[in-house]
Amino acid sequence: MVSVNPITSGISKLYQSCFVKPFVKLSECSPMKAGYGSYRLNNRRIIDGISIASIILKDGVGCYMYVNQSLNNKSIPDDKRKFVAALDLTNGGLMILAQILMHMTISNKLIQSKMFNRILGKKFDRNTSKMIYAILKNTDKYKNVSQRAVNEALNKYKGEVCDAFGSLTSLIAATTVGKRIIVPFIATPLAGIVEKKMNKNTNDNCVDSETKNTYDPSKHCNPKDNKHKNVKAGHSENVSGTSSGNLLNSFKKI
Amino acid sequence: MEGVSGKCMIKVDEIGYRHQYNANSERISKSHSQPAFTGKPSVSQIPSTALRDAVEALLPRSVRALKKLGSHGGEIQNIIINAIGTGIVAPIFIKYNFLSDSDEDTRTYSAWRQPISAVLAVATQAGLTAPFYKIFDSWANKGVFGEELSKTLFMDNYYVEKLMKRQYPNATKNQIKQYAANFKKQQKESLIKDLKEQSTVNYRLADGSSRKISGTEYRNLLEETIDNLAKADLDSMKEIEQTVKRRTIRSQYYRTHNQQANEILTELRKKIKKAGSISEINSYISEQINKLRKDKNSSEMIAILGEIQNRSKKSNGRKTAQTFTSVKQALNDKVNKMLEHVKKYSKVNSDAEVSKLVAASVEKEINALKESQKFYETLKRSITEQSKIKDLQAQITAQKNLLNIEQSSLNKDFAREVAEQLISRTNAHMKCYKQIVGVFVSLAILPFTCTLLNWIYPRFMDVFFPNLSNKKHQNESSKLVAQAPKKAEVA
Repeated sequence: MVSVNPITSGISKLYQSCFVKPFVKLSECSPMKAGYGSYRLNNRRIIDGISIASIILKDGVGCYMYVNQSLNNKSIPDDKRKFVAALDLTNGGLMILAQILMHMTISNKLIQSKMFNRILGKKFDRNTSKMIYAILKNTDKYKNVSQRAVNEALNKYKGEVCDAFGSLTSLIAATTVGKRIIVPFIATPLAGIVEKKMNKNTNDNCVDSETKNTYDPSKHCNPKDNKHKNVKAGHSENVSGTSSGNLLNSFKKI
Repeated sequence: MEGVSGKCMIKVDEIGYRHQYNANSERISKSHSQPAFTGKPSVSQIPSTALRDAVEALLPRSVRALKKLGSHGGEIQNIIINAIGTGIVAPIFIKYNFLSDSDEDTRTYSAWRQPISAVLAVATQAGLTAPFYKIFDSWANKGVFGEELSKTLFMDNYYVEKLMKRQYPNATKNQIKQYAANFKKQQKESLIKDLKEQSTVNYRLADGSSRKISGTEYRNLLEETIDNLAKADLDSMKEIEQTVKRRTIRSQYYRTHNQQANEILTELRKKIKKAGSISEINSYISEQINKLRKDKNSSEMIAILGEIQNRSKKSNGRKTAQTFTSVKQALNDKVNKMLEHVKKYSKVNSDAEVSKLVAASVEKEINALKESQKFYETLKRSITEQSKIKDLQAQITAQKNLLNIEQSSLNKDFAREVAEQLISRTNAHMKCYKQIVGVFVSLAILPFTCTLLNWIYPRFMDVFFPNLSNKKHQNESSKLVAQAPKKAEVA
């Protein structure tokens, strides 16, 4: 009789109910089963849709979180914080676009197989199959092998090489060149533009609600009166903080 | 938590393994859901991958290298390459970007975020995301998942090797590979046997029980297998139709340039017989092609010679005596066949007659393949949840005998094809599951990665690049304070 440790059994039960069961249930739910059907029948429209949706969801949420955290990170110097956040934003947005573009082109299975056939197709042609068959049937081990069996084995191997080719092209062209060279190259100047826009928006809204001037001169005096206009301009200039002068100077000018 | 779950995993693994191979071996052999694995492979048992390996060995080195490079890396390699891109390549394009008019210090400061983010990505992806996928694979092999994802009857290679290592702790790496290949072969044969005899799939579950495939899934499986067979025959038919076009052009050439073709090919046959090496044959063919280039009407003959030369080049530089004999024999057979056609078409009077003869040579095959398409349609319609594989095989065999064609899927073992389809569809399901669950896993990890980056990044910059970070201002202030006149000096 083997004694069961109550702690171990408790942990095991917890592991089963909190970790294993949810994932197993997820694997059996009807939307997942619908997905299985599409993958099984190689329904490109659905497979591509799922892939693109997952890219947008993952990178979109990631981009939002990175931008938000960067903007509120007081440890980053004030003068650089907005640029860091802007770069996160442009980088994230372009990354989503780049990944969708690459998913539709270089990382696409159909395009990859076309590229593969153009570059390496000749290595797996009829002549290759015939020659492999001729060499194999002259050996003791494969003297009874059929041409059809060789064709099938060659096709199977071709599929494996095609997959390897696909993952390598994706890795080099999409991941390294696209995501790490082209995207940062475009994202950096764009981040500068976004940063300027952010600064502009912040300056426009920097008036605190408590100190905001609620006086409307148009209600109390003649709108054509230039003096009042100048006072208003001087005041708003001072509030926005862009002018180095003070209120007294503004009045002196009037 | 990680450690605890890891321990639990090992425990479950051990239970499953003990159950599968030791404690309940009687039940397993009765249900045929697992092969009675005896350990070491017998001499007569050749692993199913042997022919594939033999074919691989005869392919060019460049192709083999590409395969190795692309498939050996796996997920961790991808994560690392991705991180190298993020950590080294991207910062260069941020810092030295001539299109950006932002201050260089700011760009440098932002560029340093990339390597830090890359290191964190490697740590979180390799440490958290990738293990999730491994856990799913492991569950599929153990029978934790339901029928859609269960791989208990056709376990993954890595999982079988793990089991073999446990069963034979003193075996060498090669022995383990051999045992694993043998086990997988036996497992597949057992699955095929179950399909043939019981017309069902008995999945093994993690708790030791077994469950039969559901009626709907069984029916879908049979229908998909028939679809695959029909598609293979349709592809063969298309290939033959293309061959007809090519063969007609060539046969017309044999008729119109009969003497030239006969002379060149007979001479070539002599050369092949006398040749001492493959390169000797190749240089002779090149010589002949160069001579023919002057004559505009010899383009088809150039194509014929090019085809023979291309075939001889496929030996991929292997200079063994056996390879040379095989290549020589193959080239000789090819030229003989061509000479037979030259003789056949010398007696034909017109191109129209040639076309008729070529069409007639494939007519039987094409008609048979067309008939097989109709047969597959009828067979698919007759499938029910209770269909017996034996009965379906009997119908296929009857049709095969009726049509009598070599290049058709009708010659295939139906139960084996069903087993192949079962493996292929389970792999497709797993791919879908990983893709969808992967999104949720990534999203769950994201706040953690994000917070960690935002915590580490400014601190890293403060320590290593104080001139770019907040520290600069603090340093400058302290410098100014130090330079400022002291109270006593002022007084």
